[in-house]
Order: sequence, then structure tokens, then C-alpha cells
Amino acid sequence: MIKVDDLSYTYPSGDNPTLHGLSFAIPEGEVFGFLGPSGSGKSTAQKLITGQIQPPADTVELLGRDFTAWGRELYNDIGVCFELPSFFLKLTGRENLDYFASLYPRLRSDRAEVIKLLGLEDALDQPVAEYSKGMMTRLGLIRALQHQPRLLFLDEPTSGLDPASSARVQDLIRRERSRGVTIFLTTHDMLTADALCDRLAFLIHGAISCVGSPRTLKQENGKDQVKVVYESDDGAEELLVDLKGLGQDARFQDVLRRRSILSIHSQEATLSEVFIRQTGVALE
Amino acid sequence: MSSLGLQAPRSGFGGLALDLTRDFRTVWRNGFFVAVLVITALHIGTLLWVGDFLRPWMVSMVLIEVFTFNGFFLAGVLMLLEKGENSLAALSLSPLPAGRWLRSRCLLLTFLAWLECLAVCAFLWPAGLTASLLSAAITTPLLALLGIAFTSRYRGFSEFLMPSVAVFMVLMLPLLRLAGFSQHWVFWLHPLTPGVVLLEYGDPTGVPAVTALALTLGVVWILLAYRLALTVSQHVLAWR
Repeated sequence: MIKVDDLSYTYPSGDNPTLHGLSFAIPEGEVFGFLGPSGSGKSTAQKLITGQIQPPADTVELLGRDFTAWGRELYNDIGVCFELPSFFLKLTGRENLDYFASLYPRLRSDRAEVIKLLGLEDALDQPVAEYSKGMMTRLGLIRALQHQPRLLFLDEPTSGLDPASSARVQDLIRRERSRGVTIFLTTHDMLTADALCDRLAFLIHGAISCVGSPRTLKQENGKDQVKVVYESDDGAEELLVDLKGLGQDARFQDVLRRRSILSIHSQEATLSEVFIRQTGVALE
Repeated sequence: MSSLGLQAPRSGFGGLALDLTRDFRTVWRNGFFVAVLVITALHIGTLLWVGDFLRPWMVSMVLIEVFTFNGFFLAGVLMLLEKGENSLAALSLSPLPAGRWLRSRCLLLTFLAWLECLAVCAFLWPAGLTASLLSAAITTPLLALLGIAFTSRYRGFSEFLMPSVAVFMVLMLPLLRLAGFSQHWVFWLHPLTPGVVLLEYGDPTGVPAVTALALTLGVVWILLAYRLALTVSQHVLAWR
């Protein structure tokens, strides 16, 4: 659905390239996460893939055709949710949604349900200028979804949301994936990326440092061990046991039988630790 | 209609009507109509004090200035507003063709200019109503398109203001005709001259050849400016 081949870009006003030879492919129905710190080139990459900046020929392929061969009909199948508010601020939420819906040949039948799911039905007649950042993020998501796109570009879709709203947005994104929508997710939020993405690419200084599924990346960069924390006379003690042969490990068996267990955790790395290990840079 | 009262998709003429409605609401709710109303009232008030000898000449000048404010400056300010609220980026990533966006903007601003013509002529120059409506019809869309093309490179009003004043001075050059400085044919190469000439003669039916020439030239300039604005939309605003 999305194929990027050796995509490099230098801004007209810049001396150094912002992106260096990005290459990846995203099959239909996959949630692909693009992770990187501010200034790593995530937004530039998304702008090039969506056409906000014209990509060079033969570097970006969408829905089976080179980007430069598409006309405006391409956008019938694309939904974009911006990180920054991008609405007619003096118009109400309903007027914004109606206007943008009028530009597309399709309208999803369950749009009202999506609006209710994201909790905006009571705010639709309010001017968008009066919305909070979280409300604008949710409105942006509804706008991106209301014409049933096959490709969805989400830039920080949980930014500014409270935990409950964030969970609802994540549910909605999972629902879209289950309907076969291909999702390109740009974020620096490791928890969101871990929860939603089938695969991730780490972007640093305009280049991809590694690509893989969150589970694989965490396993490859972690330890194959389990840490058991149990009560002892001194308070709490830890026991590290190899995952291999865990069931036969005498110390592990003994702790399970005789001690009061406080916690058991596998020692796979977190995505943040993987990112630091792979790129040498921490995400804020 | 869905259960939340949201509209079904539209295209063609219905789509343009929706564009116009959106533009009208934006202009209205941002207070531009009030600004235009105040400026028009000020102009009318001032011109009522001017003597009969100067009035016809000054009314023409004021109308051209009004068209320039409505076309060039308002188109520029509206675009900066859309850039600032990022709605322009959202439009450029929708199926909306840049041409439809430009046409809607031109129609709205021309409509606004016509309202001003009606007001100015009702108070000051009833005989010039037809000439002023025709002049607005060929001048305002042209200026709006030039305003969009010119403003596309700027991000904020403060950046746009000083250069726009310089452009305004150049745009006003054909007014020298009205002031009697020169009737040289070179003025016909200026895009605003057709609109100025229509006002200069006042009665389009009295000089059909001049009127036809001015209208034809005016349409040619609009088409050229449309092409320019479209190219700028594609290259500067990435509106393919």
C-alpha cells in the first residue's frame, strides 16, 4: 500500500539533507509506526509521502502507483490527521466536518457512531476555536476517517488526550486496522507505538536505524530472563532466572513454593531502551 | 443526512456553493464584513463633503481603491488566516481542486465589491452603477488572484504588509489616467486599466467599442492571473 524507495530530501533553504535514503514498504492492513525525536525528519517524511511536499519521482508509491502519476483522486483514499490543529477555527465542529465531507465521494455510514465514540457529539455546534487541544485532536481523527480512507496518516494521534480518550482513540485505530485500513503512525510516544503498531521504524537524523515489530525489537534488545521479587526478612529480594529451562530451575521453584511473591517480570527491553540502544538518543 | 444531521457529499455546482458558504461564514465571523462596511461608510461620508466638480473623479478613485482592498488585501489576509489556522494544509490534502478554491474566493470577494458599488453609487453616483459593477466584475477577481499569488510566500501579516504596500502603489498607477496625467497607450498594458477605463467613461452604452475592449482585456487578465495563481498554488502551497 505504501512503498518508499531511497527517499532523500533537502529543503530549498537548507544546506544539509533532512532525509537520507529512506526505504520501507507497508502492506495492506498494517499499522506502521515512525518513531523519532523532534527534528529527526518524521514530519518531513510524512509530508513527502502525503504530497504536502512533492516527492521525487520513483521514490514514493501509494496504492500501487507512483505518487507523481496520481491526480487529486488519490486523496479520496487518504485520511490525514495532523498533529497541529488544522480547521476553520471560526466554524463549528459540525460545519468543519460537513464541509470536508462534501469534498469526498464517500461518507462512512457509522460516522455518527465514531463521533459518539470519541465523545464529541455535544461539542459539534461549538466553534472549533473554543475546543481544547484534545478535542481538536479527536475532531481531526473523525475528519480523517469520515470518508473511509484506505490509507490513514496519523501524526501524534493521542497528543493532548486524557488516558480515557487516548484509550478510545487506540480502540478506534485498532478497529480501522481490522477493517483493512493501512495506517502510518508518526509519534514519539513509545507507549502508543507499542500498543498499536505491527512494525516500527526508528528515525534518527533523517535515516532509519532499524525496523521491526515491537515484540521482536524488545526481545532482541533485552535479556532472556525473568526477574522475581519476593518478600524476605530484609523486606524484598530479587531473583534473576534464565527463561530457558525456567520450569526446571530449582531456585525459581523454591522461591515460588516457599516465598511470598511481590512481582514477576520478563526482562525484555522497553521500546525506550531499544530506541536508546539503537540510536544513542533518548526520546523526550 | 445522518443521525447527527451531517450532510452527504456534494460535487459540481453544489460543491462550489458549499465552498462559497464556507468562505462567507469565514469572512462574516472574522469580522471582515464589518470592516468593509465601516470603510465604505467612511468613504461615502468623506465624498459627500467633496464638491460636485471633484466628486465623479474621486468616486472612481475610491471605487478602484475599494476593489483593491476587497480583492488584493482581503484575498491575501484570508489566505494568511487559512495558513495560520492550518486549514489550507488540510484542504491541500483533500480532493478539492485548487481551481475550485480560487473560484470560490473570487466570487465571494466580487460579490462583496458589488455590494460596495451599490452603496457608493446609491449615495454618490447613481448614473455610474452599471460601469462600477462591470469594473468590479473584471477588477476584483483579478486582484484577488494576484493577492493570492503574491501572498502565498508569506507566513504572517507583518511579513506581508510592507511588500504589499509597494505592490499596491504599482497597482494604482492607472489612476494617473483619471488624474489626467497621461492617456498614453502604455497604460493599457497595466492589468487594472480596463477597470479604470470603464469607470472613466461612466456610461458603457455610450462607448460600446471601448467597453468591449476593456471587458475583453479584463477577462484576458483574469485568465492570466488565474493561471498564475494556480501555478503558485501547485508549487508554493504544494496543491497539486
